[in-house]
Amino acid sequence: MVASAHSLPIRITSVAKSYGSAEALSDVSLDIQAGEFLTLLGPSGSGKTTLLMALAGFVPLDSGRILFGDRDVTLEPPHRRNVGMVFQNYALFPHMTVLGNVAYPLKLRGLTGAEAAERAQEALTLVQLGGFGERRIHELSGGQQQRVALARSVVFEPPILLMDEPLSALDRKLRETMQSEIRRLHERVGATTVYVTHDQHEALTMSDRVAVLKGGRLQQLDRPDRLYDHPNNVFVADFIGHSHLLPTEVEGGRVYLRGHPIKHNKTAVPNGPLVLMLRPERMEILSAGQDPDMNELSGVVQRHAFVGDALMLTVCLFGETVITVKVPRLRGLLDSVPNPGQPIRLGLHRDDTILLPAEGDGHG
Amino acid sequence: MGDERLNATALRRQSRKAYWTLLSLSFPALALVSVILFIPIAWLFSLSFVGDDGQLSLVHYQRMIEQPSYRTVFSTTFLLSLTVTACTVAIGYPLAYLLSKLSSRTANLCLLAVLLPFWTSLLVRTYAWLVLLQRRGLINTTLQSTGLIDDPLPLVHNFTGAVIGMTHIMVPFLVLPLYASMRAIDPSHMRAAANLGASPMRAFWDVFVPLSMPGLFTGMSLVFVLCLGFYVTPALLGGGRVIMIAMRIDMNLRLYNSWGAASALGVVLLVATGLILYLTARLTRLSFGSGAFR
Repeated sequence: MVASAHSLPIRITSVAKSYGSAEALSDVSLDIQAGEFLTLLGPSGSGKTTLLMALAGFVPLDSGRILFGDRDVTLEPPHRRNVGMVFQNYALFPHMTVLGNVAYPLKLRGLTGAEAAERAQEALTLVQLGGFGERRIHELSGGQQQRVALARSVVFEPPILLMDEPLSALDRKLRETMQSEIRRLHERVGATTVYVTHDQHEALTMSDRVAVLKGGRLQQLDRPDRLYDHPNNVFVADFIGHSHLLPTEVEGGRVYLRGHPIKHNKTAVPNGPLVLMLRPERMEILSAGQDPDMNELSGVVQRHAFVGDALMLTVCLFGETVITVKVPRLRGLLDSVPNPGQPIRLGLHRDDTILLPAEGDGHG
Repeated sequence: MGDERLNATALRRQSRKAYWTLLSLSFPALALVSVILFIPIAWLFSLSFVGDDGQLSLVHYQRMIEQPSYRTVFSTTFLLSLTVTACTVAIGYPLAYLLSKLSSRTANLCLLAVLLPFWTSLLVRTYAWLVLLQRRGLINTTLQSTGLIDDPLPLVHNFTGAVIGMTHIMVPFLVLPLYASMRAIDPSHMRAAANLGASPMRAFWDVFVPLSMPGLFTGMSLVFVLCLGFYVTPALLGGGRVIMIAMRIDMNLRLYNSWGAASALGVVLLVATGLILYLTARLTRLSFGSGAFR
């Protein structure tokens, strides 16, 4: 994370917004560090776009406060906030050339003529569109329009950059290219970046930290790896990556799965029901012997499915729960995979044994 | 050619058949249009080149250039049409802007109100203006009774009267295409402008106005062209002092029984109209590229 000299931290305090009876945001507080790349992740209706629009000044809040650095911008109109923004549909001006679009924010800041043209040209070069200045917007492909939108949002060196699902209109290949381009751009310009997406893969690969939202509430704010390995609650566990959630029984401070005691690292077992999170790639096939740190799950293989980089096993545990297990296609490892219909013993290390409160989307 | 490819000929024949089936659906309309439009226009065109003596000549066109009365007719027609177009824009642009900002439900209701005048006849609307604008009409008596003016204003039977009446009739023709094009402007363009630092006023001039231009040009050319051929309203509200091309055509026919002269004027009007429509189309295309307008 390269915090440039003029990037600003963002402090969001208890913001709330409702449309009629529908709560789009409720009591969301979030501290974003200067120069950080933070992603707002959530399903549609989670409030992530509302929060971004509130940062840009397009959504008036019902309550709460937004600070850019020391400046309270809660009541500032959009045009005085001085933040760059990339819109979902790019919102490039069709009546201006590419260069005209990129130079427009400079023009608004009183910068015209050769200097403005030079800086706009620099920004275009930064997104690898150096020779496209005189083109019309509709002559560009989707990916090129995306780059122009990026150039326009950073050309005036805003301390804060907002992006509203900027890659959702692109096909997968291009999306992956643009993901790394946006990261590279972020490192070059150093602005504090708030990125909205519903694509968890995008969120995990691009962000310094991810804020997961659901129903207008913040579920978890963490590093991508922490989010994946140690979700706060069932919703995050289910939303990020693939996971199976198995109900457990808690009795006298011990946790049981179908009567078998579960080894885990939780120091205190809370009262109330817990679920066990299983990631398909975190289970290994056990051969002979016993590892004291392993939880053993036995079942029957139902199906093999080839997915290219791995073999997916459909396994029926305890004769009733169906889960999938991802086996990487490494030589030697595949030989130990039982055929469909045969029993299998799966091991889950105690470090990977994540127990979550069964109910609720609270701040567990 | 290409027949060596599997089924190429049969497939081509099939698609051609579908094309002709579709095309044949328009034949009745095409036939009607040629009978009632193309043939009369061709006839009109040929009439304008026949002199009073029945010989082929350019005498009607020559007269148009030489006679000062014709020159007055042309300049009046164009000046009046331009003035009305300008007034229509002054009234219609803010109206269309307001409509485009309303919810589409409310906007549809308001559009209905804009279109309401179409439910009464043009003649009735024109006479209504006569009632309002005349010397002892509603406007003048009100102004006099409040003491704002001493003598009645000359609001009708002149250029002003024609402008007022025609503007009223023309506003919907501007508002409809303009409103449609304003509705089509993506609100995120205005948001983008604001985000980049443009005040609402600045964003309006820099982004909204340019993006509404195609609709404005369409509406303006529609109004202007309709004004060029306008007869009833300028005739009644102009009080004989405002002679438009259409009135001159009428005069040529009824007073002088000269079909040739009337046809020549008709041809000039037609050509001028076509030219204006062509130029508007070119202008719109030039400033906005060949489409791809979201």
